[in-house]
Amino acid sequence: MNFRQFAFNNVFRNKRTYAAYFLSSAFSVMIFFIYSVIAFHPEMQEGMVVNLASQAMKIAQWIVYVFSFFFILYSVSAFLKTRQHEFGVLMMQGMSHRQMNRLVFLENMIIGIASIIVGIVVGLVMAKVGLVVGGNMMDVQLSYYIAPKALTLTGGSFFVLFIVISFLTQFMIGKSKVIQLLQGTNKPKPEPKASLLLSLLAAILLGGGYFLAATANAGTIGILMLPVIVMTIIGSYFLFTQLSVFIINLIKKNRNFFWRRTNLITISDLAYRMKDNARMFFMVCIVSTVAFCAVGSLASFGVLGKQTELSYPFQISYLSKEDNKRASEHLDRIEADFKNANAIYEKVTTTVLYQTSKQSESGVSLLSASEYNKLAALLHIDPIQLKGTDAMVMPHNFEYKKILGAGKRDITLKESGIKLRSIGVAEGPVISQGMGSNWVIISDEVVEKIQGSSKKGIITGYRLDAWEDAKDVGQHVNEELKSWYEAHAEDREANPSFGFTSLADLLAMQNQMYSIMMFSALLVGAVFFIASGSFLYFRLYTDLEQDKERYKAIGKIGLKDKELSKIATTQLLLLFFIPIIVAIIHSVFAFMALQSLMDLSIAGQAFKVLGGFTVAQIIYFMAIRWRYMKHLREALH
Amino acid sequence: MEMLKVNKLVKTYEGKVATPVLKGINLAVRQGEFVGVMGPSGSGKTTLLNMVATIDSPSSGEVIINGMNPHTLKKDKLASFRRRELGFVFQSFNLLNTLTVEENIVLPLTLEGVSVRKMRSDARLLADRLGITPILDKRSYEISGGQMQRTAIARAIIHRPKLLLADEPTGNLDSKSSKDVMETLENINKSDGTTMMMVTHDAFAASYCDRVIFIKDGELYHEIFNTGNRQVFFQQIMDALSMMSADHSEFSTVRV
Repeated sequence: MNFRQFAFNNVFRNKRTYAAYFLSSAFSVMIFFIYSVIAFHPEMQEGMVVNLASQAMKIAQWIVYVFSFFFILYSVSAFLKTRQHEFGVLMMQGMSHRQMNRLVFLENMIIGIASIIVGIVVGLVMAKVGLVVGGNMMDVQLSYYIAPKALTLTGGSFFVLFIVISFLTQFMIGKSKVIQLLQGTNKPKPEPKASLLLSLLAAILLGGGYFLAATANAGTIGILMLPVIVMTIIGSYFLFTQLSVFIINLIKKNRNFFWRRTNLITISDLAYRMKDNARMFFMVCIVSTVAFCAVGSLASFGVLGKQTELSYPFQISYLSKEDNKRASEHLDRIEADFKNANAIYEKVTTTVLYQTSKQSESGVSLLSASEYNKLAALLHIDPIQLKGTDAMVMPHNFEYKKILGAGKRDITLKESGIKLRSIGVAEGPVISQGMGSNWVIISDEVVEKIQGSSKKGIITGYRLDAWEDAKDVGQHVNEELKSWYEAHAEDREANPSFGFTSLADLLAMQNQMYSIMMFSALLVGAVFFIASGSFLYFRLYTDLEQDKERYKAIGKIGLKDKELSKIATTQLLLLFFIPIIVAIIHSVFAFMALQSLMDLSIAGQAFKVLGGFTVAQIIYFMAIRWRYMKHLREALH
Repeated sequence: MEMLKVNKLVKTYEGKVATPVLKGINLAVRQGEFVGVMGPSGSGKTTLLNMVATIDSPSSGEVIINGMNPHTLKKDKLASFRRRELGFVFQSFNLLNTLTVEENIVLPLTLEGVSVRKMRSDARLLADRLGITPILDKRSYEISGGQMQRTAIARAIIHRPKLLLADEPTGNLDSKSSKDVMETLENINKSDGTTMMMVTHDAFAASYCDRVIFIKDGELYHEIFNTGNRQVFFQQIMDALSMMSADHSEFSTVRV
């Protein structure tokens, strides 16, 4: 048996010890591989939206990569800790530090290469699922094709990752004395001390962060975001390292509770391990919060569809400017499409005037009050009255409504020299988004005066109830518009002589983008979730031998099966759900802040995401508990 | 009255080759008696203790503790029985290092759900008697071996067990601590009248017993009684030990 064989045997004859480490590494490789397969799929390289998805995948994939690095690094260090005793024995047999480093390096490379191979092989099968599910969500047909680039990228990048990590392992073993290694994790650790000041700081930081998040509005959220995140992260750290110890110490002082039946064992053990657990709790909590928020905020973009509908009161709109010679041809075509689709619609035509604002040097779209009222009546919006140079601004879409200040201001029209006075914000939009910008409603008197100096446009709006059926209406005009834009891509000054918007078309695109984002987020969320689960698993595994000893000692005094199960279950419950509950609370406040950006409630979406994660965690808890109890019972009998 | 009765106890470890460890042991221990069990390594003395402690179950024969055969009990009932009727002192102390000395002592009572007031007063009283009051708030790894064993003894007797079982209680201790621990056990035996059974290698520790039985190859070999003088009793034990080892081997392990 040479040295390499020794390392090899070490791994292959100790499968169970290495299993968790190996599986989580292989899982990371697999996810990375699936992302690559989708991102490099040839059918993902065409078309604007799909190409964007491919970009999103690439970003998600590198997030997974960076995260995998830290995750595997943590796994290795947890794993090496459980083997301290073994290293002590090896050193007693005369193994040098150099050899030991080489051993660990070799072992890690064996596991690394094995997990790359297994991850890719399983990934080849799972990629099929990924392509079908991803393709369905993105509404593109993705055939089963593995780009060679995906293979080489996954293999190469993880090979580098494992070399770097294997290299870093030598710093983890350090230059510990043999006796320390032999004692391993069994040497008693002192209880962590809690500082009242830092405990208070944790409470204040978290409370403050929550308060700011809950009261944030669309205007302040940008400035508050970073400080709130920093406050929450620092607050969480001290929550687990200080406040929790402080609370446990308080509980311990209450003997009536602490000395009741199994509480004595459960709580003292919790306090004893708090120092190790605190860091793990913190990590799991932050990782879970990131996962919850990422998936949750993307899920909540689902409500944007509703907001979009409100920005397009006319589902199909056509704009014709003065120099447009094909207006009647286009409109005929659109109406013919309606006929084909058997759709019933209301048709409205309105005139827009264009001038330039002296203050902002940008174009304004002017609509007369009577025209506004005509459209408003159709949309069940109250009419407005304007006299003289009084004017009102109108948002060009639904979200803009909140940003548009109600303050009074002057608008001087450059072309006609007329000074308008804006007296408020008109309800709206009454014209679909994309038909004009910087809307100002003016009185009919002013319209008379500026007729001559203005360019004109005519907007034809079609309003229909069953608009989903009219998805294909005006596609021809739309294509023409798109090709015009493509032809004039370099010329920024040029404007087409006509415009066209279709809500159905827009929503289809929006939905597709949303699905892509959701798909990437769910995959990233899954990685983070599995990772936090593995953190817990390693924690348990590291302590398993010690736990067995402890329960054996208590068992000799006489511990009923029910009591054993109660102690172990309570400890597992705390281990699994304390960080998750804190993460959920964090996320709820994050969603509250996000809500301030949205006009429609995202509570439903947020609830679904958090509920989904909680259910997954409960299932994971049950599975782990079952295995853990089996181990303990084996040790006891 | 007999507190412990062992009838024709047989234990065979099944495996590829069945290994008989105990070959029909008969033993009776009176209430209040302090019995020592001695014998060479592999003689089966710890196995005997484990049977009595109900940690291990016999192949045949029976163990009667206070008129009751615990081996017929179900698992949970057995745990309760151990907790209420038996006390244990181990060579490796088996203290929980997550608990303070006081918490270790009251552990059996907390599992029984005794009131905190009673637990505290019992623990204080016992600590006073065993001289460990100053270390009650210390954690178990901060104290010396002798203190650990006295803590373990306090834990073993706080619930007033019918039978106290000790497995090499002085095995990990220096001679001064051994003396302290044995005097503590003797004191408990004399003043509380607790029945005790102790497995030991240490002739000095055994000299505190009322009676010492010798086991060899799974059978009772010899038995001697303390007549009141510990020096004499110690000498008798040494003689018995050397006689036992001189029986079959050419070299005496203990030279007198």
